[in-house]
Amino acid sequence: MNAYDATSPSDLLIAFLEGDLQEMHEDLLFSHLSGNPGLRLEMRELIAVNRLSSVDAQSLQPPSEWKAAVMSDVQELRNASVRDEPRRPIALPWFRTGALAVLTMLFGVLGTLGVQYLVQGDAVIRDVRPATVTNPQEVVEPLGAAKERTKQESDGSVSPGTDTGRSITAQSASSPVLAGNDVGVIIDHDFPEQRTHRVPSASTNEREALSADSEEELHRPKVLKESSVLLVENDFIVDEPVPSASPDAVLPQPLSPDLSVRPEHVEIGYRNTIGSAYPNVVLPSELDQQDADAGINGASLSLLYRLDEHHLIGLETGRDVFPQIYRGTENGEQIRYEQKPVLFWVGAAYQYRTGSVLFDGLHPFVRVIAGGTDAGPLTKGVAGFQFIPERRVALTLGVEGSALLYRYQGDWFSSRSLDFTYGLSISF
Amino acid sequence: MNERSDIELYQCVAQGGVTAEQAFNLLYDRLSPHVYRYCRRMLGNEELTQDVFQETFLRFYRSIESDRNMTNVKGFLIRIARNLCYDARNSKHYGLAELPDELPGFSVRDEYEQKELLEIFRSVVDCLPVQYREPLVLKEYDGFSCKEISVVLEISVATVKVRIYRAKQMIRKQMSPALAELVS
Repeated sequence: MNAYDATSPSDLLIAFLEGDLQEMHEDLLFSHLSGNPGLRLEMRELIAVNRLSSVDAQSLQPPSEWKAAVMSDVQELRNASVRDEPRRPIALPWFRTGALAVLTMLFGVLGTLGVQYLVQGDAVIRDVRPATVTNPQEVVEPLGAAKERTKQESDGSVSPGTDTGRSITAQSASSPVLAGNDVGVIIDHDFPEQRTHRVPSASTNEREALSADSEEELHRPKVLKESSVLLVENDFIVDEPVPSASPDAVLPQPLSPDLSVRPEHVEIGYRNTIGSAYPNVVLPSELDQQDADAGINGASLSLLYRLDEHHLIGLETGRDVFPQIYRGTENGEQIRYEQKPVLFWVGAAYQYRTGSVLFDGLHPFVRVIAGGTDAGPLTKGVAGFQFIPERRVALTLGVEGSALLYRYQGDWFSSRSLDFTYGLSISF
Repeated sequence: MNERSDIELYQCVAQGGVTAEQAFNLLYDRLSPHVYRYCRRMLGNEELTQDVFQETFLRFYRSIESDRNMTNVKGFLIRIARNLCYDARNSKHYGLAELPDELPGFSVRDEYEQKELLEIFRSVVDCLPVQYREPLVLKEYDGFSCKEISVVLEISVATVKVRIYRAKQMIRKQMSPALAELVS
């Protein structure tokens, strides 16, 4: 099919000038040209148009300064720092982060209990039975009492089978101590100097089963000397002096952790941080989010449960600025993102607090937090001192290091910080 | 490097490395006049032309991929420019060129008159409808064949030819008084 109308002399002409005229139409065109002066003028005009377009095309050259502008833009693309709408590389969805925090907390709890169990070494946590048993054989006696009885029996001062006291000696058993409701005095053969740890019975039935004498004896064994004993802190404080053991007697061993939840063991804390974060990202003010609500950036709230005087576990949550620089490839070009998102974080916390140092109430501590944000997993470590002027109040001062991991196009990047931290904790 | 084809230079840029910058410079030197002519004739406005021109090369650079099956770098670049020109024409900043009410018929005897005639020609081309102007510019200003134009514009070869014919006839008719003087 031809692009021109063979019946139109103008079309034939222009097709001829464009080089598209078919050979069979050339004679037709020439015959038109020979008999039509207007057509010949038209041909000359079309030739002039072609020349003008050629001249115009040659005269059109891009200004030389435009090249420098283009090359400058291209160079900037090569090392692009995208600073417009911030992007958050999502490494782990919230539910995965939450699962990680829960697992870490469980690990922390189990680890703490395990460490405490190991610390007690061969300490025998004996099965403690309520002193309701009527079988004399099951009456627990301090070892010292048993020896004393033997001595008394041997010299005839006491008839065999006479109870010299109803203090309880733990039976040799591999089962753990009955938790909570039992009156138990645990005797550790290997650690005779250890403190008595008493857990008042919560079972009225058991109390009733005990005779008045025996209950009194439970609290004040005859064979034990009365002396003041170092009082354990907080709820472990014994109101009245607890008799210390004689050299022959072995003092009861602290019970294994009471796993029941006690409100007085709960600590609510607030911390704030001031410090430096890495990498160093400088953004235009309109893109820098950290100034918004600056008062709560770096702050955190914690809810910890005190397992004993040293170990605490719980949750902590806060909000921080996490400077991010990460690189990738988009549309064939290398690109780099810089941003400073403000992210909420949550994590499982474990804290170890030592006894007082230097002066009363000053306790070194370390805290580990494992959790995450919606950008990725997060870990924090805090070390410092807590000043506890009163049982329910603790002032915190220390140093915190944190690291956020996040992923972009398969590569891992990190945002780190080292801060000075201070805070306040309150117990019920 | 100068002896390499456009496609080889494109691959050099796509692969990166030390020669990528030099290759892109060469591509720019070869193809920038085509892009400029196209943009200048399609937009008829120097300021808009500069914006579209620079943006064309930026988008071209961003879109360079080593695994792209590139067969016609100039055509690829013109397609980018074409889309940008289309957007620019639809923007509020674009104003249609207007043909003078009367084209004087005069004899071209000196350089000044030649320049005036050229300006008139440019004005007439700028006033052509886009569907006729575009194939004309691609053929007469950028040297594309009718087949290449048909690929860029996504129309048939026959349609490309017809539109070119019509464009030239329109120009001739609009410039007839001046052209008659010129050719007499």
